[in-house]
Amino acid sequence: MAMTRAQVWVAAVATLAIFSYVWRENPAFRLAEYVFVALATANGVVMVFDSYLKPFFLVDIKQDGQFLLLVPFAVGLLIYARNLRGLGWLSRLPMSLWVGYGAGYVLAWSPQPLFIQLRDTFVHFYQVYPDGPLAGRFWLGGTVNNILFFAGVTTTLMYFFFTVERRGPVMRWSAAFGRWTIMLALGAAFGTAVQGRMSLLIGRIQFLLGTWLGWLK
Amino acid sequence: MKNRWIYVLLVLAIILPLARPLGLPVNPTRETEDLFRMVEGLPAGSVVYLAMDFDAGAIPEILPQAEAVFTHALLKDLKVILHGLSDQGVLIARDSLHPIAWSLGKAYGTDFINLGFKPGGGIVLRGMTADLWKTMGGVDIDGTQLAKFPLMQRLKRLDRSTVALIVDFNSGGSAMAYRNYVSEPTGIPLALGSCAVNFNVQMPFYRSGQYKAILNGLRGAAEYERLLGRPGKATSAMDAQSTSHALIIGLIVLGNVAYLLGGRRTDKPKR
Repeated sequence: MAMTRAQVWVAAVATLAIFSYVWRENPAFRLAEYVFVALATANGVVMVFDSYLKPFFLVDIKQDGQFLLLVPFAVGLLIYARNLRGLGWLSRLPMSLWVGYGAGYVLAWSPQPLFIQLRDTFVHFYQVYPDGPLAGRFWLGGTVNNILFFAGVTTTLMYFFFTVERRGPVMRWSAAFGRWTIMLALGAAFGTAVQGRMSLLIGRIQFLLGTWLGWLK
Repeated sequence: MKNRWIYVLLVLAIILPLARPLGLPVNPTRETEDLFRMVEGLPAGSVVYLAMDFDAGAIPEILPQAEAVFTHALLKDLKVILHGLSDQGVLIARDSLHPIAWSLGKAYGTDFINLGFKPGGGIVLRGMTADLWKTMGGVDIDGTQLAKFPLMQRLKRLDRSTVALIVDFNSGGSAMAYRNYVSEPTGIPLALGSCAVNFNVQMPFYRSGQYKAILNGLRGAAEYERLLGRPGKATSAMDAQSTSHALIIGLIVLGNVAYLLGGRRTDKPKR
């Protein structure tokens, strides 16, 4: 990012203040934390005003004359009625519209992507090489992958199937396999979480040593 | 072992390879190659929509991805729309991506445009598939009328005939909104620039073809830089990523060995 020297110094000092938490909780850390929260909030407010409210009044209302839009705008403002004694019930009106519209909206658009996911769990066990010199020949790796995939999906579902008691070998073994599948998935998620946190730390150290101190090429 | 010693080791494991690169190989994965091939295969003049849905905290991971894909698109003479469901992402794009475009001799409003931020998530996206201009309030990030930009004359709504590819650079849940409300109904191919934490969650959708490609955090950015032939910050960070991971793996192994040899004590860690 293009930054002036003063901006680089402010960012570097703020980064060091946040890193100081590693040593112990201290005023420099708290100051940097509060400043960040305040800046992020202020930025959000200004951006909503600039990107939403300003064009709404200047373009939609003033320029295009769509005065009917003021009706939903007024209904939306009723959300603040909760702060008025005796009129708090009015805030339920936009809230109920919001919840009703939101629920309907999600129900209308979510099934299609979900069904595609369901369809993707129907896999052929017998796999052949799709391309390359062995195209059309039996592919052991792909076959094992699909069998593991099928076993993982079904046994994970079995693990969360609480209607039948886990007695008998089928229920016990499938639930146990499902638990292992879940643990493997959580292990992979933890691995990528570590990867992500390391990336953020590397980014900050690159900034401190490179952009700020100029020690890195 | 006190936590502070672990922090010292970790910082050393990062600083040393940054100062003296080891040159460890970065081999692109299929998820990254898919995105590179898609951008590479688009005819000149096609519109690529880059959603800047990340905040400042995700800059080290996501921004190198966005810079690499943005540079690639402009080098291929594609037209780029920048937009964000995050209030910070579009500002980061203005500071970081616009200078890249100017350095490549590209013009704002003709070769690329920044539509700015709109709150509302999926509802905004559905609005954009019906009437992009109206949903954006008729203005770009700086409040300039969209009618003044040649690029916007051919882009009245988001649909398959106007937009060739959407890449959502996200650090949160916006990928689901693009998938459910734009990509599935319109058929516009969707790819992700994902932070590493979310990568596993997104993989089933890549497998099913709902996402055409996924960049996995900083590593995905480095892979894309390698494919593009323009190594940048992500590439230079990969050695440090490898050494820090090796250190953590070593510490996990050491901790488990100590746990097994020393009995199952449950002492609280010392700070």
